[in-house]
Amino acid sequence: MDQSVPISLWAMAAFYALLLIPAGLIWYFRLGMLRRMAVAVVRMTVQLTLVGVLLIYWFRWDNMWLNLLWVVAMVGFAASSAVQNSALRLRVFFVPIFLALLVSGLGVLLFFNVLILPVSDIFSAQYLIIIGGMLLGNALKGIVVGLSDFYQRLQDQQEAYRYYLAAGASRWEALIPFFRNSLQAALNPSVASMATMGVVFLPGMMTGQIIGGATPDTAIRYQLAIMIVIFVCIALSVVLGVAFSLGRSFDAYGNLRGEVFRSA
Amino acid sequence: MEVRLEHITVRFGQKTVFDDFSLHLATHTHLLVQGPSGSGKSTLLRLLLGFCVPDEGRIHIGGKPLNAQTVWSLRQSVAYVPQQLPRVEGTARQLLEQVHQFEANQRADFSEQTILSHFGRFGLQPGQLEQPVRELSGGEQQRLALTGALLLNRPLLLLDEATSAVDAERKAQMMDYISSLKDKTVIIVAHDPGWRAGQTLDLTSTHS
Repeated sequence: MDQSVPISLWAMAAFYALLLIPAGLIWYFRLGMLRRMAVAVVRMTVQLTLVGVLLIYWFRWDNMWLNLLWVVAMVGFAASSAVQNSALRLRVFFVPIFLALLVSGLGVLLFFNVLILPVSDIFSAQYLIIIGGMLLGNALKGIVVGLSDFYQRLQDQQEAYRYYLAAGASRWEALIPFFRNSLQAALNPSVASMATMGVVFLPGMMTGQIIGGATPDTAIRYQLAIMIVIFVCIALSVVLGVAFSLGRSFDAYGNLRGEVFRSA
Repeated sequence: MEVRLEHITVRFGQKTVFDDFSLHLATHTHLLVQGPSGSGKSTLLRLLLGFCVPDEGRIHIGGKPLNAQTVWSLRQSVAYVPQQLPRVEGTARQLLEQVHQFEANQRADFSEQTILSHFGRFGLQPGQLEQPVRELSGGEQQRLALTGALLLNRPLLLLDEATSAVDAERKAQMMDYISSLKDKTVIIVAHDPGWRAGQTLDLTSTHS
């Protein structure tokens, strides 16, 4: 089944040796990020190795509940990383973002699997975990952009929001202009990358499948399907993320709470 | 519409803006609120709009207590003119249309004829309806904001330095027109001399 040529340890060592080039550049031009680069490389190595070891077992056991547990854990990491990459406060936003990613990610993921797999395999590790990881990685970027934009814009233009409220708008009516902008900001990068896909770059999933032995026809179908579900997942997760967070971010009078932001 | 504030205390951190402050405004009274910057003039309006919740005390508008449940319907009895229109995208017409589209406002008269009659009264040109709000001068934006508030035709009108950027002649026209609104309760926060109101509140004294 595995048709890709394995990479020997010697070859891996040579790849790591290649890092001397950027390290040398960073040192020579005094970019001051040598340490950060080293830590990042070590983290990447350790994290991926651990995931690799875990995946070996998960693939061996291939139990539906364990696979779902993996997805839920991924959603948890994704949610906390999403909040930490924004100016928003973890205590307020973790639960709404977790739920938004879980509902949209898992919903879209199962839809994807139902369409391409026999029913008995929709919870199989190979698809649930791997496709789930791709989906969440991308939805994560979308939800960070969307939610940060929404609350930041609302904070910066609080007078506009209050003007609408004072004119008799319901909270939702007053928020629509802000929401529209943030959804647009979240979807824009995906729209742009869909428009250039295949022309400017060959996407990772497709590349991986072709190396793994799939025909270009199959690889392209998978890539198209995954791009569509990623796009849907971003749209859903931003809408749900905003909807689930509203209750915690405003007081009963409709005023944005100060503790929404970390540095507030 | 009657407005009553009873024993209001508002603190922002260390600063006490209102300390056991009370005010009663009978229906159809016009109140002019004066006082130096930081004396709480804008906070008074924010209290009435529910944008600032008092630490102590009660507020009644039109006989109803202002609280988290009633604030939404009470905001629909109020028309508010901020000192500056928010920096919104779109033309003057789009801003008015947006306000008109709120469910609470769909029955208000936002007809072309009514809009243009306010425009004429305050010296705005019909063509300015199609101009982006950001391109209007400060004084023009204030007149647009007043137009928007009057179109809502609410019983309580709150004006926050609503004529501060308008030239003297237009200012007099705006003040005269607002004075003529005998069927509305009006609260005017202003530094401008020249406003006429039945009742005056000087907030300097509450802080000295």
